[in-house]
Amino acid sequence: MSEALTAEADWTIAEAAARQQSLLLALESQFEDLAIDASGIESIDSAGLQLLLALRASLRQRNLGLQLLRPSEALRNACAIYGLQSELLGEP
Amino acid sequence: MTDDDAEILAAARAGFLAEAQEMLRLYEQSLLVLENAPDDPEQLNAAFRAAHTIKGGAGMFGFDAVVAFTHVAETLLDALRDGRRAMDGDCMDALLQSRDQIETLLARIDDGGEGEGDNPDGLLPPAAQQLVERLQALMGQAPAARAPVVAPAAETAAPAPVANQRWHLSLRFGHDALRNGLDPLAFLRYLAQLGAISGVRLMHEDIPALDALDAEACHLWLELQFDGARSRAELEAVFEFALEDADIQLLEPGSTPAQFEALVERRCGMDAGLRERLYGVWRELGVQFELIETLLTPPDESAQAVTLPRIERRHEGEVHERGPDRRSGEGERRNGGRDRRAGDDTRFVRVRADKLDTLIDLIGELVIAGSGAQMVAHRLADDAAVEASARVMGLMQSTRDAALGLRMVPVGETFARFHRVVRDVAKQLGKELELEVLGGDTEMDKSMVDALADPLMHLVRNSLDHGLELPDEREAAGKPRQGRLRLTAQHEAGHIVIEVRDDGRGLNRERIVAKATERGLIAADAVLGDAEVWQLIFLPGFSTAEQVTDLSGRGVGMDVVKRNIESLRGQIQLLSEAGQGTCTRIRLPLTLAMIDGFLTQVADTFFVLPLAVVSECIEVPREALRGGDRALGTFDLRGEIVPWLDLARFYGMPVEAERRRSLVVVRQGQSRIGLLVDRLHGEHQTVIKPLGGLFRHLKALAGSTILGSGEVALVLDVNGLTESARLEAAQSGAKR
Repeated sequence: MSEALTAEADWTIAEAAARQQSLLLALESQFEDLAIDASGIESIDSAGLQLLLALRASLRQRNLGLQLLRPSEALRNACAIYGLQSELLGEP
Repeated sequence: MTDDDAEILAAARAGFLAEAQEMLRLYEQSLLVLENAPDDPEQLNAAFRAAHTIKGGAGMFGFDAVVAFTHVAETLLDALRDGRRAMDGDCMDALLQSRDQIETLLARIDDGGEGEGDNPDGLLPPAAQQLVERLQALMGQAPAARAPVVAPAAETAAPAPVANQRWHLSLRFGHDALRNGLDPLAFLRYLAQLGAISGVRLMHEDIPALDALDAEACHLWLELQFDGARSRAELEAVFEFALEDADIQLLEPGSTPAQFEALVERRCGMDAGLRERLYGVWRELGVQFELIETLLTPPDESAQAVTLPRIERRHEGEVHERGPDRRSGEGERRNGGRDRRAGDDTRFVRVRADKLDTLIDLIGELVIAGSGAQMVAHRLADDAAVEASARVMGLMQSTRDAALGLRMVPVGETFARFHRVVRDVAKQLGKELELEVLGGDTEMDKSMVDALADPLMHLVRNSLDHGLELPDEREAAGKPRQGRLRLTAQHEAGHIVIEVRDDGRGLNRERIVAKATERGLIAADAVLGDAEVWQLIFLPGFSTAEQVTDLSGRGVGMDVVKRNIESLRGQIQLLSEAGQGTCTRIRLPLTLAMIDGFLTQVADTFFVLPLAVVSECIEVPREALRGGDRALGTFDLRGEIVPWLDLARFYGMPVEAERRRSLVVVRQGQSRIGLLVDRLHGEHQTVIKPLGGLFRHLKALAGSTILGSGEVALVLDVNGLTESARLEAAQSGAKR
């Protein structure tokens, strides 16, 4: 696995388009599972979560996996509300 | 930027500013309701929504200061909404001040103080900054640490969740939900405050792959289970302002398989794969498709195996029975939604007032021209032409009514602003009172509503200041400590009647008479009825308040109010009972521009009466025939004494003695008067043109109008006539 990508702080709708662009760039050259260091995510809303899910769907199309490492409190919280802990964070 | 762009932008900006004013009004209104009912989630939602809309709009135009400030207020509201902070007096004051501050910030934009890019940092003026700090302090600081919302929710959840309190919610958010500022997360957080979300499943299979995704479009569909003894209305309130951007289906505990089936149908249609997926999700969530069966059989795969086919079977067999069922349920939901949001979900088209005025002017001319055509048709005695012109006139009348209707706005908007005034003034004076508004949806001409605002404000302040007693005084007088102020509006025979009623100490007859005598307004030995005494208050320079307060009694007295009302062709009247309260009643015509008139003729002059006030036309009574040269007198109308007025003599016109004349009985409010005219011409569409400044002093005339023939007719002002008749009678009585 290549080095983990570092996630930006703002994953709200205001920044969603920008996040999508950088994720797409990362995706272009991705031939193995993608790891993202999620410790820096300070705020995330439904648009941000949706991006992560879309990213995972894209990776899956290529039979690749997504790992969100060291999820921040904000990310954990959002995942908890959506019941996505196991799906996205690999937590029980 | 081209000129066109600049123009469009300027128009959009003006639109935003107008909308923001409306939102501020709603914001304030909701806050004031909240003050008395702090637990009303709908009002919190409404306030939140209003703030949010302002913020969104301001963001679009780059008014960063407004965005930054409103955001803080919104955050506090959000905290109140999901129970992280309880509403109290401090909060309320700060929020109300935030409203004023937003208004101030918006005013700066309006003045051109802050434009796009003008204030890139969104720096707030010091006053706003202080308020921001206050709002943040109220939040208990650090909205970032929003952390465990779901967990504590479980603690606050009502009694231990049992199966029969388990709701099933299916939320499908529309594509624009995120763009419109709705975050499904926020709804879930809020929902978690009302009970416990026992299971949630995001149907993320619908989210496209990253390269196909529009990052700002919403693809979220949630199926969730919620435990809590809540009513449908309470849950609907949670999603109230998502209704436009989401399809929210709430299945209450113990819903029948048919209801779940309807939901499947709604979500998946005939897509078998999707159906299977949804069943799978429900299975995971432990949805009880059929309560009895799951209770009897353990919730494992075999139970589902039994349940599923059952649903499918029903689907095949009972299509027809189910169809209307589902639809009616849907209808209920929609209707429910509409009712709750009544008032703010109506869509508006913003039209410039001058365009509207031009249209109404044109229609006015059209009506006049139409009357002319009709007259010609009658003269030609061509049946076909008469019929055609009658049809055109009919349509024209409808057009006229519709056009006038465009200018009609509910009075409620004017009334609503009193809530704040009443609150603030009452606080300042140490009085307790409740403001009740009835008939706020009664409509009247916009220009009149605007013109009415100041006089009404004066009356309300008067009631607060002079009418209502202090709580202790009220208690001593055996009344509840809390005073009551009631504003009502209603229609009455082509007029609108507005009342300001308080249950205060009432008018003091002796003091008014004493003051009027002292000022030489009445003779010392004058004998006056109550109504006449009350009318004295409207005389210029009359003020009875012993103490000139900050609020009223600044010399701009009731005479100004009366003049304002009269300039609207209205009438003002006071009713009062000592110790019981005072009622000010204002009668106003619905519109200033056009009326259905009743055309009469005296000598060569045409007079138009508003049709709405004409109650009957009779032969000239004997009393009037015997009247000789007198211009007025009284006659017996079926046992009732009614004054009559001879228009010819009143206006000093030649009287054709041998002519058979008629008497038109008009009624305005309580008073009636018979008007003697030479000829009756019947109904006539009248566009009232104001009289020139020269004729303003002619009290009994409301304006003029042009007949189809090009002749001028005078529009009679019935109030004015009654008043002049009364004065003249009083004078001639005094002379005798």
